[in-house]
Amino acid sequence: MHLLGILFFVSCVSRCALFQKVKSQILKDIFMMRSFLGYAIVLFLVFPGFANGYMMDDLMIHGFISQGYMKSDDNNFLAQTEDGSFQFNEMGINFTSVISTNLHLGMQFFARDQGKYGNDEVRIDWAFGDYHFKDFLGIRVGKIKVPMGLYNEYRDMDMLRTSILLPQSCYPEPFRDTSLAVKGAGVYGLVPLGKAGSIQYQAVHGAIHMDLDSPIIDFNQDARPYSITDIDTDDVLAGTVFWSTPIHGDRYGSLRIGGTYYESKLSTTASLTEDWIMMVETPFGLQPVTLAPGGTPLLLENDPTLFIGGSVEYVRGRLTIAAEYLSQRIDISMSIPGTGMPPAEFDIEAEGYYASASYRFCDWFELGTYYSEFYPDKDDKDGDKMEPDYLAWLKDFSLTTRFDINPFWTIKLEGHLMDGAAYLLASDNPEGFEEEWFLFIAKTTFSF
Amino acid sequence: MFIILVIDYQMGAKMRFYVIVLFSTFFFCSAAASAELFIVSNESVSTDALSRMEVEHIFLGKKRKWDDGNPIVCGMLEAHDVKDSFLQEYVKKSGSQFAMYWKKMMFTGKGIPPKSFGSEEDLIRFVETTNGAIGYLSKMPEQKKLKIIKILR
Repeated sequence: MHLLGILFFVSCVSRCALFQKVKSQILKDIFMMRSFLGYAIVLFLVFPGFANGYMMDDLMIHGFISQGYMKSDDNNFLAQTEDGSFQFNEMGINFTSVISTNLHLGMQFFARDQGKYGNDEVRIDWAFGDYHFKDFLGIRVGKIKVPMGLYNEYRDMDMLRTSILLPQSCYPEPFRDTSLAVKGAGVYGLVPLGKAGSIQYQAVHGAIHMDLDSPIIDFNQDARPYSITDIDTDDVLAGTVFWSTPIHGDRYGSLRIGGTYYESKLSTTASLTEDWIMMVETPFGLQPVTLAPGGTPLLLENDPTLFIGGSVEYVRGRLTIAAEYLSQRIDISMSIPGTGMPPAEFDIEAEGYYASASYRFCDWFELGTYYSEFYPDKDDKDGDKMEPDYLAWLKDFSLTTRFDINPFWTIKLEGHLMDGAAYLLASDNPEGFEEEWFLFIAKTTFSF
Repeated sequence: MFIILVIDYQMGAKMRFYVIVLFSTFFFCSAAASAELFIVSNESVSTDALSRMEVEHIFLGKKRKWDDGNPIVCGMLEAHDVKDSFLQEYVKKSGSQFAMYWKKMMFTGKGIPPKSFGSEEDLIRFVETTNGAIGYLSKMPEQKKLKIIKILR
């Protein structure tokens, strides 16, 4: 094993030498950063002494590598899945240091590839200082994961949950980057309630920057006559409160109930890809009037984007049952800057919910299932205003088998029986959608 | 254990999905043996008694300070039977659930797991010499500078 590690190290060094020939400094930096992340994780994985993570005094290092495969019979989802796709991986390495009894610092480098998104570019997933004043009050400052529901904070780390694909009703992949991590500050704490259980809370406030290769961009401009040039939000407020109820123990299991609140103001600039034409009533009948020619800049403001959710989780022995609900409301104002024209305003109200169950039969095998429903317009669940009507929903029945070969290696196989085409992109499916389709996913993760 | 996963792909037709999972796993899954346990702390700890929920919160990193404001430092045993008994009785989690909980904490930067020790002697030495330390033992320590924490019912 040590020999393997040395071979990887030598390979890393030799590849770095090859990069000296790369003329573009930016390309070189990106290439070397990706290689560094990948090799660093592999090095830690192959050295047996690091299997539980690397610990030195008050410094801890942990990491993971996930590789997946997706195949659908119809409809491309997240990647070119009809052909089968291996572009489905994540990797990360984190460092945590205890500075004092109240203060610790940490950061995680992360890269992922999901179809055309990510492309294994290394980013800082989270990086913050955590000061623990009291058990009921601590603060975090830096880049902090956004608390939402039961799973949002570790949605990119496959080994930390049963299913590979989280229920899209409450953890939609197109919105992933709007609720991943904020640069700002947060508070957290635990408030004991005696025999009434305890309350655990988290809240964050800050900004989120999204790159132009984010899935939210494609989702926003899919089949629409504009192309997005920039997207940002400087004002995100999000938090969760979970109540660990008095139902707690071996006999009756443990029940916790929680709520999620997320509010952001998303500002998007775009340019028209074709003329903006409006039909106007004239003495000669309805006539087309060009309000703005193609290429005109547009300003879209989502004020607010509001997610409100509820979560319930019940654990009894090896059985875990969970259910969540998420309501999404987005008020959109679309205007042409500098023209004085009143903005076009509309809103979107979506909702989704799921119920899941998993049972761990023994240390190495777990079986999980969920049923999820998502409606992009909660007032049109039958698709009366949509063509085809099944764009109005996405219903997903999933079954997952999880095998923990050892504490550091997990393999999962998962099937999804899908009904509907909400969240599918027209640009990924130029020949149209199918209403009923099947998605198979396999994934393996190594972690230390 | 037998698992048969049959996926029938037919090009141009709807994909049919059959999953047949046959379990004989139950026979291989054994429950943790129950054993008498003692919660012990460093002599510097001012607290004499804890509720079961407080013990759970301590080992899950939710309660990090004693009532006098001093930091809590946790120590655990690696041995499976004693560790599993402790986790089941006080933390209400199996070994794998406990490991998963701390992985979630570590990979989101929110916490640092308790230190683990290979033997009770090592754990005793750690608790004896570390201010604010707490741990658990399978037998009452003799002539040790440890404090037995009473567990409130």
